[in-house]
Amino acid sequence: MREFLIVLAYTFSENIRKKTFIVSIIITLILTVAMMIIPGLITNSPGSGTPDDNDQKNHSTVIQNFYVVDTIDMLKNDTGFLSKTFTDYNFKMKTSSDVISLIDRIKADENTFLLVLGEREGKPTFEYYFMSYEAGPDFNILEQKLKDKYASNILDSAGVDASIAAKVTSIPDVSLNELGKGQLKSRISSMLIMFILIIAIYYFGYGVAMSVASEKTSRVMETLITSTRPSRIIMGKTVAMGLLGLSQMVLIFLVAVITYKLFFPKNFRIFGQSIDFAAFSPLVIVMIMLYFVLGYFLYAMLYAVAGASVSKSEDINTSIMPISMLSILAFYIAYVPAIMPNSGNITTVTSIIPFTSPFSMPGRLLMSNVSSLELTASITLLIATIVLFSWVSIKIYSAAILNYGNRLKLSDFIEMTKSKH
Amino acid sequence: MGLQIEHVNKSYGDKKVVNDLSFSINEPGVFGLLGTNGAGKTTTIRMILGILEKDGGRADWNSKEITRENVRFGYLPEERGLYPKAKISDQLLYFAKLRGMSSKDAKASLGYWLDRLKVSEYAQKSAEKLSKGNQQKIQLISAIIHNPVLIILDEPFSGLDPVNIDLFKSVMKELLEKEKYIIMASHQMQAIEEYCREILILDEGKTILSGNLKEIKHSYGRTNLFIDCDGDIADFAREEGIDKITSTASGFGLKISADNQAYRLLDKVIKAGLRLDKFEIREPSLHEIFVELAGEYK
Repeated sequence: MREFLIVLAYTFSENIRKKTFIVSIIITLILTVAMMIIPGLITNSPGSGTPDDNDQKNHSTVIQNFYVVDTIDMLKNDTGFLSKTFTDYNFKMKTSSDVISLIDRIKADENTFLLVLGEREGKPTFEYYFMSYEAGPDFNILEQKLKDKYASNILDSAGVDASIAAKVTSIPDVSLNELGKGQLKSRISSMLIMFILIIAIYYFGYGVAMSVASEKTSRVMETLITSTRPSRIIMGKTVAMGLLGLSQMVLIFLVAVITYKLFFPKNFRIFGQSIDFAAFSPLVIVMIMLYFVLGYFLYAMLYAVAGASVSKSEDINTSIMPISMLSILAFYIAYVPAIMPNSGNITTVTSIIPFTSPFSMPGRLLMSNVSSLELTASITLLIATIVLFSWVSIKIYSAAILNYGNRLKLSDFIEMTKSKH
Repeated sequence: MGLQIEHVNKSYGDKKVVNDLSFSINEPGVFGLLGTNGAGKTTTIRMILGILEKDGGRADWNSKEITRENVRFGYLPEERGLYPKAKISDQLLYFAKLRGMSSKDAKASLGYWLDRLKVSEYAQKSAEKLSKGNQQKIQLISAIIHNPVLIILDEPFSGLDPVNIDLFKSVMKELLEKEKYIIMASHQMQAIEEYCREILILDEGKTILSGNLKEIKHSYGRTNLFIDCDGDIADFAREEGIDKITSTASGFGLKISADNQAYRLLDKVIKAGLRLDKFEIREPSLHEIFVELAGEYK
């Protein structure tokens, strides 16, 4: 245990002082802060905001002309209800004979709009002319207002009391109170966590492989293994790099939480989906960290073997390729069902299979409720696989670190698992 | 007591790299492990240290199998290796602590050996900034910093200048005074002759000669004659039945069968009026024994 801790402390202190590590953590923190600040800047910039106040704020400096040609006398020459909603637009009534000249005017000035109200086969028609859709009022709201006016006219002509007509056309006050985990709302944060996990596992796993390979290629390994057992070297080294990764993740997480609280705008949406971090309960955070540690450990032991199998550091990328491919494949097997709606039980299966569970289960925990049985099965299987692979990895590592010359083949690795070390 | 190696074997595929090797070191001193390149010296050392699995046989220290826990050993590998970017003091303390030293003792020992080998000024520098000779000194410190009882030095003098060779030799003497058991693998026969009481010569994994160096040399007899004079003595030597004659800038080396043969040759040289600077009858050097044996087995 003492030797394991000495290897751990040395590896940790040597790597935390490396320029590459310091630079990477600074860049990651800058990106994290930027991710939290930029949505706020976008939201507060002119032309942005929530849909409801967009039309109030838009084009505040330019009064735009909005012409209305009412062939069915739907508005009865009254555009007041439109002016009240869209305050930045100057609504003017025109006749059918003006349509062509108005269209020409729109072509010359993108801040001019035309709406032609008509009727076809007993149904109202709204023809909307514009140069730039974005420059005009929100058409969904405009359409709703016109529909209400049309319905109100019909009810009025049918002799329905105005108060009843108002009730019919009133917009219900909808309040959504989801009691389960918001799968849609948590999707983006879940995707984000999965990406962070694969990048962290790859980055620190690669670090383990590089560290082992450099000890071998610099020939310091021969001195090292006369000082302590290979198992203590690989374990100490792997845990040290994992701790380094965990420290980095905790630091990034803390910075993310602080900047989120300070700068991140409420109701911010990406492609219409809001980003919700409410699913990050303390338990979920602990579980994400646990899956990072376990997932990292599973892959890092394999990366250590890949590092021990090379004699020249330039061969490292070739040797880690199978492990990288395995981790990327496992990531996609976990990721694709997680982002696909109605993926059924696939996510349940991927969250239990050891190689995919480190990516899949954190996403599931954020998006849905996971039974304690599934969680226990997933963690137990993952730990059992880690123990098995660690045992095999230690065997191979112990034999491979003294092997110089030809690149090791699969048959060599199998032979090495029989060694007594 | 000491080191016992019994019937150790190692093969890689069909190739037997160490074949039924046995020897023992029963008291403190230097044991010479010799052999041509690829003779199996490094494999033997790795098996002694327990970092390479043996196919058969035993390597014991005080009748117990050698492990990192049973014996405190130090190793200077032939392929030198240090962490290139790490500070010298950090990595030496790391190795010392890994081998069981407390932080306080490790620092004290580090200070002593850095001074002793005249490299204190490099303690805070990274290894890659040091010259090859200074890196070798640091590597030697890493092998002995933890006060090991069994020390294995693989080519300790290679790549060193004469000043540093003398410095390393003085460290060897100090280790001997401290009653260490040392195995020295080297091609530098002069150094082996200077320090080793017992030697073992390997060739393609087989032991071709082993035992006490003095006795080995005695067994070869006084068969080497060296004459330095101002004329050619090759014809006189042939008249005396001496066939093996080597002519160098410093004189003639001749292989004789008995002392009388040499004296008769000396008589002829004097009668011929040649000026004689040196006449020496001696046992063969270890270098000569090694070259002869290694040549025979090729």
